Amino acid sequence: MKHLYIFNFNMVKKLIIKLIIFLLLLLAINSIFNSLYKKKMIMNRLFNLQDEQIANYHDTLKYLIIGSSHNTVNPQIIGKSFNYASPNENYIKNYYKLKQLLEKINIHPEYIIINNELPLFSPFASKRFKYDSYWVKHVDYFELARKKNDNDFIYKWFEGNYFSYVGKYKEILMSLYFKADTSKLINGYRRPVDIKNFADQKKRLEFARQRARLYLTDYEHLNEEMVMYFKKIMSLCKRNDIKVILLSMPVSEEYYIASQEVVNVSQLNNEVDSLVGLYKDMAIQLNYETVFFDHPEYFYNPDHLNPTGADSVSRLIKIDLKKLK
Amino acid sequence: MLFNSYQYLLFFPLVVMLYFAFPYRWRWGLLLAASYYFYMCWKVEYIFLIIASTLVDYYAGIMMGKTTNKSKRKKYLILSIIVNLGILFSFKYLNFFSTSVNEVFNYFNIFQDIPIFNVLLPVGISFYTFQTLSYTIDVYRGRTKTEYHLGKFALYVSFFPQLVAGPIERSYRLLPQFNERKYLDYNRVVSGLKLMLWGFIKKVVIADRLGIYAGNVFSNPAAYEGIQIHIASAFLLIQIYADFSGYTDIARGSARIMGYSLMENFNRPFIAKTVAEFWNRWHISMTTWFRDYLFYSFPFKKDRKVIRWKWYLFMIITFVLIGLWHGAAWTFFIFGLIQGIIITFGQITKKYRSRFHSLTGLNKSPWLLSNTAIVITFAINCFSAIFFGARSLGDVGLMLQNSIKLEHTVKTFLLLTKNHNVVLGIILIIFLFIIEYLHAKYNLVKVFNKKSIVFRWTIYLLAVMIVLIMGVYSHEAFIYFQF
Repeated sequence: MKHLYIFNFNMVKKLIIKLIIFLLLLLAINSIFNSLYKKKMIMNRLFNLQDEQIANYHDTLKYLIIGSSHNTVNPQIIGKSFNYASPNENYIKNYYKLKQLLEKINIHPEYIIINNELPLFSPFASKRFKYDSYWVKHVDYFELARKKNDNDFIYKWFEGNYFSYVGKYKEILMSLYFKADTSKLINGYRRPVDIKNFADQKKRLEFARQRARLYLTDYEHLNEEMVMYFKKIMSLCKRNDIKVILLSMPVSEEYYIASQEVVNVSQLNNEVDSLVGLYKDMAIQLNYETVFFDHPEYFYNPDHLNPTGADSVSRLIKIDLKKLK
Repeated sequence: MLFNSYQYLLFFPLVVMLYFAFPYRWRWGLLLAASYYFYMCWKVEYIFLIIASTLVDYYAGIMMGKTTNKSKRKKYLILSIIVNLGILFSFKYLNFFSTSVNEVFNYFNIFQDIPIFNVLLPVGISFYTFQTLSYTIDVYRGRTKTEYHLGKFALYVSFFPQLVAGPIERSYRLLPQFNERKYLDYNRVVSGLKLMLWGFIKKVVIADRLGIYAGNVFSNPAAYEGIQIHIASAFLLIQIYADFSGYTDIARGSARIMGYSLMENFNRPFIAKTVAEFWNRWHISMTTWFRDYLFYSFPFKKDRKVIRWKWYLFMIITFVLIGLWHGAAWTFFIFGLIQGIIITFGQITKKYRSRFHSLTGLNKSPWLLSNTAIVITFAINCFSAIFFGARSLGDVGLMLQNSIKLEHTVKTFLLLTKNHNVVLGIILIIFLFIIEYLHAKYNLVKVFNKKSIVFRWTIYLLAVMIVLIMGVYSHEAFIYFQF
């Protein structure tokens, strides 16, 4: 046996002990970084505060706004509303967040206002998963892994829970340098940042092309997963007797032109219309896509409004919501 | 399976544990199974290509070993070359060849389409094909003995640490190691782990960070000009270096833990004073392969005297083939051609340059001379990197055209200083070069090993945390996998 197994047990013992001590130290440091990141990271703080605010919302909630950073609808202007949207949200995240809200927190709005824009049905949107350390509490990553047949979601769950800070040096630096002014978050909504104005950009069309390419590349038909989760959201609302307002937020004229260069917009819009047509009885479409074509100064970038633009469109929405009555 | 994946984090320790727990005589079997599994994680079917190469070269080696008749031995060598290069051509170059011929036909209005096959390039095919070819060539030349153990030979072709991106090992270096008894050695394991950690820093912290800006520019060249293109090409060049040398370090570290020694592939290429020297320091296992098995086989000598023009011609041909080895595209062809021409030009002008240095008195300040040479060599390589990284010749043209638009340089530079990927990229490049300089001058490993355990462990933990926090975790594949 001595000749078959080449073992020096003292050496193995030394190696194993040192490896264990090293790993324990690493785990300790990791758990400190992990919990610090979860609590202190600027976006997590804002998202968690949104969760707290909605859990403690006691007024009549008529309109619940969900969706991505495009959905800059000011709830103070709309009234009796809460903006639960957050950056990078896609229909998958919208669905799980809404499901948890309706089933666990027992919030029951009369209407849900949700984005209905082409980028949300794109392949890009289906791959958009960021801020996992926050989303692990809403999204069922294991269910996603099964449905998408993609084990990466299990790793994402693992990372989100236990290694949330991994690869996040930029967010860590941002959280060290910038303090999130949480006092400005009212009814889940914080007015968009006002540090840049799209009107001041010299190459506006080129900028818009970059954004359009980011969202819309390789986009020939609506992504099946996104359609599936859109349908899930609609079914969930139907079950809970909630009407859905499908909102197309304004984009700049340059972005509109750039989108048409990248994809067949009219064909994709037809596909969206057929999909929405399935929910005529419960869905209302409000389209503001082109209303600010003459106002590049209302935009932060080609497809995001700045505070002035956000308030202006919120006022338009308020008028249209009143007409619904 | 990528080294920078969770799978490898589980796979590798498991293999190491089993390896040292296994009886010595069965270890080759374990490593072979692990290597095949490692490869099949990417695509199961393509393992048959490795098996085919292995069987043909094993047979060729045995048959060559049985006879001393040179012409018979040559037949088996040709068999090995045809099969291996045939597989390589079919999977890597056939579509490039068909597309190019179709383009020529179209140009002359000949409507004869050669079909294009939709095949996925087998990962690492150029590496293992060249490695197994080196065996048959060496057996033919009598430089290595025939390997009669099929399992160990199969392991030589597919040894997982270096299977998909080298180093391209020589049979006389690696094969005998499979017959040696490997002991678990604490110092060797620690040294291997350190090498792997440094490899991870180079790959996920440095290369993948540089790749963000370089990737943006190279994927959308129309949107960038002047200094942006210069920075992107420099970033790409250093990204390739950090990526590939990082891979090599992880491969060498993994092998070292199990007791195997793989050759060094890089030797600080950015301190090269000429392009020729650069290639002596860059991807050494590949350049020496081309030198030993191809270039020296060319008939550029007559009566033991080198015929200069033939030497130059074969040098250019060798570099064109090195270019094409990297990828089946005209951009790689031109990349190789440029390198070959520059090296040849350097040889031709060597005499005149040294005369010029004497005349101008530059040879009296060697520091200035050598640093100028380093900067010029780096600039030439950055220029070549455009051909390496561009997606098409059209993109190359666009980038070269845009690279001379320098009217907004100051403004663009100020904008770049706000791009965190650029700023961090530059900091990381400086960090990389300082560490390499210090290591070359003082042997950092030796210095480090003399420090107290507290100091060493603090650095290890810090290094791991740097990898975790500052790494880019989009699970980018290693660049050289595509070759």
